[in-house]
Amino acid sequence: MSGATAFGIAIFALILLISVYILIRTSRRMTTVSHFWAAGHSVSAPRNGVAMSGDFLGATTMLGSVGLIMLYGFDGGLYSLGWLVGFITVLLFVGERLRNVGRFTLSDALAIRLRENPMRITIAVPTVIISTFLMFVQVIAGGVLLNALIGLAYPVGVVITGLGIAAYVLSGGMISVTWLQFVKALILLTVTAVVAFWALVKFGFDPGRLLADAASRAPQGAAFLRPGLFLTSPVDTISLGIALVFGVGGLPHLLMRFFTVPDKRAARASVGWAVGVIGVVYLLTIVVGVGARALLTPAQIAATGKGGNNAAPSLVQVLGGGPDSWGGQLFLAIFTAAAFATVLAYVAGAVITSSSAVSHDIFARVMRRGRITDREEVRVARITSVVIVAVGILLALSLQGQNLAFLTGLVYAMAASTNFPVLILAMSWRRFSTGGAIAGVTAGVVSTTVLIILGPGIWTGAHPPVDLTNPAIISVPLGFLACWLGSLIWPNEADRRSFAQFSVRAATGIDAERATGTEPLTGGTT
Amino acid sequence: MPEDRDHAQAAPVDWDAAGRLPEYRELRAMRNRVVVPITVVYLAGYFGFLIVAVTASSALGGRVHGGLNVAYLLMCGVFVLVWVVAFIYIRAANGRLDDQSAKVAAKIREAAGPGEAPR
Repeated sequence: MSGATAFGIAIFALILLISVYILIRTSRRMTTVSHFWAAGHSVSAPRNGVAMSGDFLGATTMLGSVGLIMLYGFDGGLYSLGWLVGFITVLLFVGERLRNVGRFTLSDALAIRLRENPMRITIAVPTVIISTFLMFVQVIAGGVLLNALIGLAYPVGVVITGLGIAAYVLSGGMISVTWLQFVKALILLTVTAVVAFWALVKFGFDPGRLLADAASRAPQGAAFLRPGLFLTSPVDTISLGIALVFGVGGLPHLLMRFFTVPDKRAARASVGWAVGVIGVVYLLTIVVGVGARALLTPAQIAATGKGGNNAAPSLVQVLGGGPDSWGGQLFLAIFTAAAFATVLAYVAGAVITSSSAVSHDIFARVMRRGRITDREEVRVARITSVVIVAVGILLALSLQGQNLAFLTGLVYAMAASTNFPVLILAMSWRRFSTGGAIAGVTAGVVSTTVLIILGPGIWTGAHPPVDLTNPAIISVPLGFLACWLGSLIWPNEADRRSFAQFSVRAATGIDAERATGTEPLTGGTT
Repeated sequence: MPEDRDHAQAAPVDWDAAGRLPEYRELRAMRNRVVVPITVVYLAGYFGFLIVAVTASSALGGRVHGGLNVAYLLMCGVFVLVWVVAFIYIRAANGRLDDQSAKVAAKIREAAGPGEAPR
């Protein structure tokens, strides 16, 4: 990407203005702890669904996925498909049932079913790990994008990104984060659609011609259109598929989204909206990636970096008229700014989730046993958020330039082998006990971490002891197995008795926490 | 039910009795009739496609239209599968599953009697 331009600065200012406007409009509604964590359970299904898709479409989609598709063709698109399929898992087994029994967090739901204190402490571990990792990778992207957009030095960009996110989470909590995610998802959808449309115009709206042209320019030739260039090992690929299809259902920041809507009906409609938006964006991403291969010169492709991360920005610039034209500069600036907005929103969602595990689950519920005022809990949440953002900034500053691709594998595999088995077994198996949950989460966290460290992502020797880029194929069965064994070794009569209440409430929504009334930003509620 | 401080308590409802209600059993059976086939289809569809893609790549190269080949058509098929499956479930859940769930809720409210009845 080129350095600072007048367009870049102007568009960055515009993004800032929009963000501040949303912030001012929403933060006034932040009156109770329910507003801070769950936007008062009053977000409409379409808005929550679009925001939910925002939770998934990070800068990695706009930059990383497009790059993979440009470099490896078909496999680049195949890689993302698992996330979309994972939403069906969420729709069928997680979303609405969680909404029926929970208040603000996953642990709030499980508190009915398992011994509250040990369970909350256990669940907080993977929650904080997952959210923090997801967050700081995006903060790195934020620093890089600010550098490209307005020419700020990387460390300054990272700090500014962090401060912007902190301002959001602190003042408006989940209300502001939801709005930010919503607006960002719409921006991302629009920008990707325009670029894809534009690329298609060059080929007379004929995807067949676009694909054929891309293949004729790819060094791999016809193989560019077939699987096998990136996902070469069948075992690795299945393992990745398992991590994505079940990991989505254990992702803390996604689970938290279900508490922002009024009821189970809105929870399932949210997933419907998310599946629609994410599916469309993934399809558009494929068009953009293939378009980049067909329209960029070999020299331009070589300049997009090892992972092809600059594929989409380069294509935008070429479509606008080239790097030296005002059109090329303007469209590049718009695209980069949209990617930056994406980073901001994504991190805000991850920060509030991390913060909820520490300040709501551990501090307010375990240490204070729920004896805490709204005002005090929100204050603790704000302090925690600042600490988490600071940690994110430090990680982003110290790990810039490292290859962090393995983190995605780690995060989803961990979610699929900790939170997901616990949630599924709590809902379906009467004898599942607190001991089982602790054993399962421990097994999931330890096995994913160890397998990643021994795997090709981190191991520096020639032959990693575990030749798996994604540990899910081992860690997910281990997580379930440990849940089962733990429940047999440490059975708990009270846990077993609570099954009837938990499952009836999860299925029917009777006694579900109700909305506390937040007016919408504009217009009427749905 | 004995005093149980380790578990968060809701309204005074006999949940064990609720779990034995015929209406609740029917709700679970109805839900399974929707969820089980959908689960089989979406998991088999995705993992089946994934396995074919990584093991039989060369079989998917047949061109259908220009550069559009069997591999891309199958992938589009998975997108459509996800959308269709989501649509079918949401329709069933909003319709007959929610109706049955309302019946269960009414029974539970009735059994809990007046006073601090659940919502």
